[in-house]
Amino acid sequence: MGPLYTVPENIQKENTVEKKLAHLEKIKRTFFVYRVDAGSCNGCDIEIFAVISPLWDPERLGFKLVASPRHADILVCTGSVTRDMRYPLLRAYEAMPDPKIVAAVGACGCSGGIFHDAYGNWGGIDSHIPVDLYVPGCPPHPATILEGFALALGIIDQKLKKTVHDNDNGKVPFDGTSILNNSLFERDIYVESKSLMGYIHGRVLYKKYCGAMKTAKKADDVSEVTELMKHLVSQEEDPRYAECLRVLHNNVYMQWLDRMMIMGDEGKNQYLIKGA
Amino acid sequence: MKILEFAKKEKMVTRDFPVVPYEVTEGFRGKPEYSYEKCLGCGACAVACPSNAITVKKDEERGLSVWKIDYNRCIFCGRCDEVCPTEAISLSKEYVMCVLFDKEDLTVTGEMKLRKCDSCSRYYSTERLHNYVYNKLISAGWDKATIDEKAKHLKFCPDCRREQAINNYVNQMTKRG
Amino acid sequence: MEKTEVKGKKFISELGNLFKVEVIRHQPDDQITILVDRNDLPEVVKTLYYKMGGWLSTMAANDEREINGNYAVYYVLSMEGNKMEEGDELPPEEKCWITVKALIPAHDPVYPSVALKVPAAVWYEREARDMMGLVAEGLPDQRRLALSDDFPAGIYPLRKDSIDYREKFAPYDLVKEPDYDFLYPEGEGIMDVPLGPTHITSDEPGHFRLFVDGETIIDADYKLFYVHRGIEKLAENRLDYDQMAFIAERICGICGFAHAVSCIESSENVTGLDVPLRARAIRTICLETERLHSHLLNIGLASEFTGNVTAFLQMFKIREQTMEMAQVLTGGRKTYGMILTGGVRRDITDVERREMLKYMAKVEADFKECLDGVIDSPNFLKRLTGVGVLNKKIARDFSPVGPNVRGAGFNRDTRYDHPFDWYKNIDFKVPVYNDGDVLSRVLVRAGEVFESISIIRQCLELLPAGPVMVKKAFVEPYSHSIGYVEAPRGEDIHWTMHGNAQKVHRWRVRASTYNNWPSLRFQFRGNSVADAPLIVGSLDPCYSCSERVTIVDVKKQKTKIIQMEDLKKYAITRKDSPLKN
Repeated sequence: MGPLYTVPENIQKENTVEKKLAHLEKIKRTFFVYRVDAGSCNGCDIEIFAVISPLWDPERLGFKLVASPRHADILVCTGSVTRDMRYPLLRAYEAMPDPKIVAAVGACGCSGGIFHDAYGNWGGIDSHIPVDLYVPGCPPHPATILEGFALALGIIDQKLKKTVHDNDNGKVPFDGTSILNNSLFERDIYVESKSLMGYIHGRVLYKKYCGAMKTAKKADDVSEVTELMKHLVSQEEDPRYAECLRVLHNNVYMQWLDRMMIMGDEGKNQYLIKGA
Repeated sequence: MKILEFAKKEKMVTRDFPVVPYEVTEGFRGKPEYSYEKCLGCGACAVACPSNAITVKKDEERGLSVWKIDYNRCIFCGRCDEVCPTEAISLSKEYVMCVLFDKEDLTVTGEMKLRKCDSCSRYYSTERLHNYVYNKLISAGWDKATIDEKAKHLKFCPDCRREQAINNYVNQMTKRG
Repeated sequence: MEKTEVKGKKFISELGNLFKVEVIRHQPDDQITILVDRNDLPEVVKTLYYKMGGWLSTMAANDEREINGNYAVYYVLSMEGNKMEEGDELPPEEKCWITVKALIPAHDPVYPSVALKVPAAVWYEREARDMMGLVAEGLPDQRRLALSDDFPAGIYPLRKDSIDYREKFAPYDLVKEPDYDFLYPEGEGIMDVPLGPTHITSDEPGHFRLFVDGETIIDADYKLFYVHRGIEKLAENRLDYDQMAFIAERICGICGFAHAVSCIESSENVTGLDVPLRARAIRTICLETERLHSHLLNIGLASEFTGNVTAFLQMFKIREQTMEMAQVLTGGRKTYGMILTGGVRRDITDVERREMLKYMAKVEADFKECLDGVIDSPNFLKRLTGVGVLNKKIARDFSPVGPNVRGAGFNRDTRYDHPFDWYKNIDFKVPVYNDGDVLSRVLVRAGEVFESISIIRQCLELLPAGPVMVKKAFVEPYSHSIGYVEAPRGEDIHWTMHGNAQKVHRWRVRASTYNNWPSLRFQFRGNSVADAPLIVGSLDPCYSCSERVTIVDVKKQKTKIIQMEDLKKYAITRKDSPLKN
């Protein structure tokens, strides 16, 4: 299959990078925006609405939403270009005055997002028309969208550059030390933390627990560790973390002591930390 | 008219963005930040990524494994962060990431040396992953003999490992008669 | 797992007296599947629907040739009572889901149309023809509906052997863009007003043709499905269970989390997975947060359509509070990335809990005051009263959902009829208004905003301890079940048949708006053109949700196609109507 759409020559001639940059310089104080939803899930469109709301107020920067592509300086496109929306999108593009600035908003607009290879869509605005501004996000935060306009108008500078790391020295991030001389203990703690509090808070919990355990002189001394944990739990301001720290101690740590034949079931009760 | 009274109550709600940066909350799901030093090239993130934003490709000619994230396609779900064993990729609070003209600016690539299988000398894993797994083995609390026995298998690709396992089994069975 | 009493036996034994019915069950206790002969299908569905008080929730066509050599259709009915009057509903212990299955031989993919007996089925059967090539005999409208106009004929994407999910057929040239075949009504002096697909008043693509006599809309036709992306096929091929939640979220930008919950629970239901209570409570909180921001937007839009832009912006200001709250809750402004099979991915710490309660207090106070200001305006009330009325009888025929049906006097709410997640443990009211007009719908939404705030409060205050995630269980191949959720716009149903590689075999998404579109045509009639966006807006339509959507059934004896030029000429001169003769 050939190219999906070839930009007509007269439009190509009027849309060189130099002309676009000159135009962006011209519209610095006020710019008109026409929005096309080329098959998005609506998430990006609502976020664009949110940008227009009083909390972000892009009209400070000169932003104006217009009702026809013939009035527009910037064409803001969302969506992964579904088969049916291809035609309205191209018609809007051709109807715009030259030079045409096109912004793709959202993961779908930038590259097709999660739908990129499904049969019902073409995968991104740039599969059809040249895109000048990429606003990634799913959906992009209003701050990101506003930042995109500010970037196009030259108010702020672009932050990201293509990055390639290629100096591999084979070193790995592992210090080889372990609390109970067995890294599987840390693994069990991590798994339990994640199941208790999810991946973000779970990691905080894991670090809290392991950080305290590392201060113990003898990590397999149950009375010392219990005292340490009791102190940690009582110091913890957030009751949810305190509750989960108790679970880690009562379940995982005690189980490990059992497994390492340090302590069985009898006498275990006095070392369990109870809730408030 | 009541609505106007309501509107007047709060005077100024507009944020001064982009002059004043926007403060995000704790645990914001922003741009996944890649830390090349921590990456093993294991590919767990690429398998988990629902939108194929992360890809790991073998470059046999240069003997490299090429890890790549494309923020254009990223949906910021944090699955990569969730499955990464070394926190090499984790969600940051970054929301400033628009680019002009070139979408390649929204990619990060990490190239890692590949390791050849000791038996068939085909590339099968990154050096880093091999070293990492070896370190983990050492710290798992086994005695020296067990570690050596287990570490032997690390040096072969999955195909050869399977073949050896079958051969060993057959040998044992035939010895037993 | 201990099996409790299976619900719905009463209906099955009653049905058994009339038809040959075989009970097969692959599902949890409140979901029963019965197998009937394909020729009995219309009568069985009709009996369940009108006699026993069922509502058509979804219909899934399935390619089961690799299992039993046939295609199959599944009509899912929610048994809850007719609800035409107050108290006319089933007791809670009898409410259940009944799925009627019929096998359709592969060599003869035809079945008698249910839509002739139960109008609610009309869209589903069109879609089955488009996507699976199953022909409902007797269905009046044979136009293409779900696939795009430039999609090759004779290819049914959801058949397992039809196309690769990545297949991208060449499009037409821009100048040769295919035209859609709208059904024009006949009569003198009728004009058509095209609206869309890109239009400043609507956020998403959809093309409406309003047929007007003077200022009055006499009929309407619409082409939607502009946003058909091929999600179902994609999920069946590329994604595993852990990735499906994320694509389900992206079915719709507003009620995304509802879709994710529905999708995930459809697989949890079949394995009987015991999801931790804390995870259930967090799911409930997220669902209600979503309802809050969706309803606030819609009430805002209703005031914008009536010209009260100040109110719209003020509502948006309040809505931003809920978005900020969602950011505390999930890390993003949409309640995305929260759910996986077995629980949720993120916990609520106590700090976050307290912060959310603060947001709730502020939103409640602000909303009360702002709503007062909105309702206070006589202009607003006058524009909304008596506009876009949904007749009770039509509502019963088409099984609409959400605020649309609750505004027409029906007490239909999935949270109340089939409590899922944590809704069993929570006190809430279902606001119902009887007039069926736009105002009723707005008032229902306003009532639900307060209920949502109260539900979130209850959840936050009673948040159970324990983990948020458990390990998922093995899913038996070719078992199937439904997941159901009350999204902001009404009930979302996902019907899933599980495959043999711990992947999904067939995933049928039915978004709430899908059930609301067919009756829209009746709501348009008799209103003025100026009210059209208001009426569409009052459904709170979600185009991308119903992305497989079809055209409304037009029961007409003959159709006539008019040249656009003639119409344009007529529009200018108002002479020699092309509609004559």
